[in-house]
Amino acid sequence: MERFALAAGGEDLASPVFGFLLVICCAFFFCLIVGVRNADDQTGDFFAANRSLSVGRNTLPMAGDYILVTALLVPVGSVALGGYDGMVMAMCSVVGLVVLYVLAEPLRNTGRFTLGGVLESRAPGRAVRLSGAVVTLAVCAPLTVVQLTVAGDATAYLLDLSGAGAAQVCTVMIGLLMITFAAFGGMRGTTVLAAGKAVLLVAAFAGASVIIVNRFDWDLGALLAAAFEGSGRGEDYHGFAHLFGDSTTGRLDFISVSLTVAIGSGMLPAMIMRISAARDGRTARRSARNAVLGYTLFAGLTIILGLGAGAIVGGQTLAADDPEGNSALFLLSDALADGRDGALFTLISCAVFLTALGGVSGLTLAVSATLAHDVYAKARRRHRGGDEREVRVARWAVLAFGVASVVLAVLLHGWSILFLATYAIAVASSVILPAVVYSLFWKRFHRTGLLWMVYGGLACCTVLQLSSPTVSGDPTALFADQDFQWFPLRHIGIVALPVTLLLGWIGSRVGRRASAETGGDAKAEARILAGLDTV
Amino acid sequence: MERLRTASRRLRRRFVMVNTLSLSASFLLDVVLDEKLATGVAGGITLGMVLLVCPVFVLLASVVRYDLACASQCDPCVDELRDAASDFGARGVWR
Repeated sequence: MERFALAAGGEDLASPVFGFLLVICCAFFFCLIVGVRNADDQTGDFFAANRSLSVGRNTLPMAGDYILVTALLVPVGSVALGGYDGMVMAMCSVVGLVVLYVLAEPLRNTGRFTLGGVLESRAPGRAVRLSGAVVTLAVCAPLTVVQLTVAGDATAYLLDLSGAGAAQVCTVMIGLLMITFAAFGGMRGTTVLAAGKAVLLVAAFAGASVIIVNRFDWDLGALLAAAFEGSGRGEDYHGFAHLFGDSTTGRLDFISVSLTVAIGSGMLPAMIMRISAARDGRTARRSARNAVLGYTLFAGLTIILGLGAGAIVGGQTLAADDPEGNSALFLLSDALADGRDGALFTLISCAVFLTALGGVSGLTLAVSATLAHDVYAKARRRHRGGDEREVRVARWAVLAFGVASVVLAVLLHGWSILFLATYAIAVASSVILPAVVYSLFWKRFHRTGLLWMVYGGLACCTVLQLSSPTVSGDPTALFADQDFQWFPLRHIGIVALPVTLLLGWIGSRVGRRASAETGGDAKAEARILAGLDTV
Repeated sequence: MERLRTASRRLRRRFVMVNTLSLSASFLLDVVLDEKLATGVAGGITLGMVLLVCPVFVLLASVVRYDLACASQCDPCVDELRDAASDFGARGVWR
């Protein structure tokens, strides 16, 4: 793989490297400052910023938290290499945030900040809390490992560190920063980090887009034509669902991944925590509305960058560097610098780095919240130490989860593990979304249905993913030399979602409805609709 | 409570229905047209681009419309309920 130094575009090597290191140092010192300020915080403050964030303060972090590093690098390459299909994927990611927008107000009204808590709002019980914790771990752990691996690779790539173990060292360094951020900063720290990340990303992408469109004299038609020529894909470039091949399976695979991204990408546990930090239900709704509008702009910029990568760098060069096109953003920014200066390259590098750092910090915080609050304090009923003890447990959970993730990410370097991200989003769309929607809006939803849905859906997702071509039976699979694959699709959402919905419905029919006798439904509805605890 | 329940359900259903229809129609046209998506419409813009952009505009318009409708129909009901509940000392707690 061809590599680029961070300052590849400029003669003065010190300046861009200095800029990059400056961002790392600023991020670290900022983390220490927030940590000192949060030294005596309580549960509500550490996990949800005391439910104090206004629309203005929650909008940028919401949009920032929504953008993970994989969601940053993959779409640019997909548009450059896949053409229309890549644009459809970018649009589906907008729909993902819209799904969260519809659910934002009732989610915030529950007053819970963990997935287990939200699920418990309709079906109380320790088992429900634990099921929420299991799903949170099932989604966040694979995503964190993938983010760390990709971030380590990207940082080594940017710094032109090609020696043995360079990417692993970068992964460890990012992991340490992530642990420090999540453990000391809590929700307030990740809020500022996510806001900064959103601002930097939009600035970098807008700058790059202006340069690209300017190169084509502000003629979008010329840019499209050049991207079409550069991709070398022929008529497939403008066609629908050809990204994974022209066969029925390939087309079905594309529809499945579109569905998964459209309904699952907004339902990550970190996003649920972000919603809970809003002041009230309507603040959450308005923050999500602004985030949708802002993110749509960002998705549009992503498409322009993808077209620019296809037009300026060319599909062959992109595919030669990385067949998936994940390095398209860096190749494009280097090409745009055109040997003059590396400012744009540095800006994009810093944006990618902060995206990785913010993404993994948010995921780690979500895991620590569920371990400390759902498992330790609620399910095991160990709340005697009060809030301070719970926050202490959360910090230890951050450390344990962070170290485990970093070790896994280092061990899995060089393996084909992008399917872990596919699996995580599939669980989010097939398990979390149905469980949350049923919990919030279906009066007849019962604890049995919830547990069937969560564990059945999780088992279904795991079995299908392990049996898919992403794990075996394909040259790009995790175990390329083995073949125990029987499920033809790489993206499992199109099958897993109906199965989970059915399990929830059957389970609720089968289970005994205890809450009707206690008036639990009325209380739950008052809470979900208006944010009231009693009526 | 009944007024809030009815209004929020109606608005949510309308929002989901409009966007499901719009996205499904765009999706179906994509599948049906396939090769014809490359047909130029104006200034190098293809039919595919138009089909992609239309549901996005519907989505954004409905997002803004939904928020305005919630603000005028649901938020006043919530305020009334909260005022009534505060008389009984009900307040939010962390669970």
